[in-house]
Amino acid sequence: MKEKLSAIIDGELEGDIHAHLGRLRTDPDLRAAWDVYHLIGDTLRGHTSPAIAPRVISRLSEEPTVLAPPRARSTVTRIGRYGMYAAASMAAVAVVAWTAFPGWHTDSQLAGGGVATTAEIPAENLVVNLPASDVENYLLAHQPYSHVSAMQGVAPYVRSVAEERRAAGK
Amino acid sequence: MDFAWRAWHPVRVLPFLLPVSAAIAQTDTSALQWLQRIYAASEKLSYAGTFVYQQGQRVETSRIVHIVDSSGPGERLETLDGVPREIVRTGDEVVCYLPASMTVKIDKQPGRRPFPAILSEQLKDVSDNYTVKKGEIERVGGYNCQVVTLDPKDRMRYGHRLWADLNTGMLLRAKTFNEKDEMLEQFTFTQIKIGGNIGRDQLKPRYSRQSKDWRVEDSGAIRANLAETGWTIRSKPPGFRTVAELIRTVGGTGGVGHIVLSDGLAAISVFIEPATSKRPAPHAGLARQGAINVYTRPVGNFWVTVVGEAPAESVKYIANAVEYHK
Amino acid sequence: MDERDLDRQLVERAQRGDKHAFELLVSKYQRKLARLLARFIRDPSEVEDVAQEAFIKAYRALPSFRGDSAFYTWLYRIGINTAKNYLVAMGRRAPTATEFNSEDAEGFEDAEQLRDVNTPESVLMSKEIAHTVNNAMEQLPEELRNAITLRELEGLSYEDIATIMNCPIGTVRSRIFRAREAIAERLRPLLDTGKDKRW
Repeated sequence: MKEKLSAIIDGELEGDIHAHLGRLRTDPDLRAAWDVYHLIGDTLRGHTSPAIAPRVISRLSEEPTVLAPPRARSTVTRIGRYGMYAAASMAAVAVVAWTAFPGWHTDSQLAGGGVATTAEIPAENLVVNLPASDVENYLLAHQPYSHVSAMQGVAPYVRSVAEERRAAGK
Repeated sequence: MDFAWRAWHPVRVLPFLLPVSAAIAQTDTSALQWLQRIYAASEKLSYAGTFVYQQGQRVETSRIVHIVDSSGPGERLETLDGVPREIVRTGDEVVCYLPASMTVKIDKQPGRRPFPAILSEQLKDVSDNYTVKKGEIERVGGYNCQVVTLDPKDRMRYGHRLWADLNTGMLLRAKTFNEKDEMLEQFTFTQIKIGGNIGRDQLKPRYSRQSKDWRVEDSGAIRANLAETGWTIRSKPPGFRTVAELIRTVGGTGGVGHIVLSDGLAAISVFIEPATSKRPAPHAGLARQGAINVYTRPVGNFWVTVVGEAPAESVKYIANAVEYHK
Repeated sequence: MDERDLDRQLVERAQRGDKHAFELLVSKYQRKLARLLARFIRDPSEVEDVAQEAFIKAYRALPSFRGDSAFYTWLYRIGINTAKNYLVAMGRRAPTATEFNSEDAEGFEDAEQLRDVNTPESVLMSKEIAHTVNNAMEQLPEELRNAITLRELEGLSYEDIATIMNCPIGTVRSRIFRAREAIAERLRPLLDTGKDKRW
């Protein structure tokens, strides 16, 4: 049993480890082995410190149990009930891509929103750039007036967070 | 609350119910009452919890505490992942701590409606512009919630779907949808404690803005009549009207005009900023993130930027309608 | 399955409400995280506080961990942010970007000397643990010592170790296990001393 644990720790046990992880919960010997095997590895590598885990674990017991919401599949969630399709006439828009934000690309939805008119500019040809921090300032000034925001307190302020993140984390 | 509100029984009168006029009889009045409950709950209730903001692939977790007691309301939000960020609101002042740039932004909000946050004229605006209906009862974060849907009556605004706790009316999830019924963003509480004893110490920010290392951006704002300075909005998208007009400091630049338009639910801000040599001139353009569209255009020696949680059409419409006459 | 998979599985269990799975991760990474924080925070008791804070923040932020990076990389960033916040809140200068944005989060190995901790007991304990482990290593039969060294210090897979030591993978697995058990046996009396199971 402990030998299997040793292999699991090294990521070398084939097959489903769930049963073993379950046993780690219930078997104190096995749990102690997990702790001491990691202590050995850390010590060999020169990572020494007083144990922090016991205090964390006792604080964790007071923490509300976290449950992750279901993973987002994509933003394209079709809700049949809300059919509000009207014919669109999209004037030419210049699409500005907020750069350097991983996972945020030029929004192709903008281009695909309806009937294109002659003056439409393809997104790829555009080089324009709105300084991220400017938008953040506007967003911050804007938030309090939104009644949508009024329902959620300061929660919508997280929208502005992304801009600062990009500005700071180059 | 120790008994369940059963708001779909129209005979039960909520203490803050306002008279409902015949003009909005088409909309489900009990659904409108739910909207009132939600607003009232967000103002009156103390709560502490963790929520997730999702927009596209981006998912962020934050902790929020809101306290209402004899000293007044107070609120604090702290991001739990990514760049550290903290926002503290007390009274009408919002302080935003940005440790990454060692900046503190202070914003006072004159014109923000005091409790009760939603007035009858605003309710009328909402029912003019949205079809408000009750949906199913669904569970969020361990609570049974009433789903309330707000379908836009035209393309100038987004649709919303709200989940409110049956007992307290507390908003536990909110989704915004575009004209193609695609979800643009979502707020969901993953854990929340509503009511009960929440210590005011949880409102204390980690940071002290007195420290010399911080750069403080104080945004003073005063009410103004921008028409007197030559600025007007020639026409507004259907359903939107002006609800505030200010002159303020934004990002260190003073003398910025700020007009707020609203359709009762969504707000769109118009910023009129003198072009200064301090920063590179932005180009005209549309940008979007989630439910927010931003459109900038030059007018003379000024930059007009329109920001709002409304479709690009509305934002552009307004930006193009801003005029300056000496 | 590899080690990263193990972490990912533990995170997923934690995200589904299994707190114990998160505790296993805490136990695994506590010293590595403390080591990281000690680069920026001098006082060891403060390091402990900040590390604790970082783990709790990580727990609360679990819903937004999507497995795009390794768990430790994500934890590392939370640790850095927590340390930054802490220093700023204490009115100390937040270190510059170069000091904080070390890229080699996963490869970080510190060959520094044992850092002094503030209480005599913990100084003694750290030294005793290191001493015991070293002694035990010296006394191990050579093939067990080699196996565990190649695994823990070189980070090699069982397959690679089998190639180097010219033996079957099953033997590698058994040798590493026996090495661990031999060392653990020497450590257990030390760890069980007293009611305070801080180690």
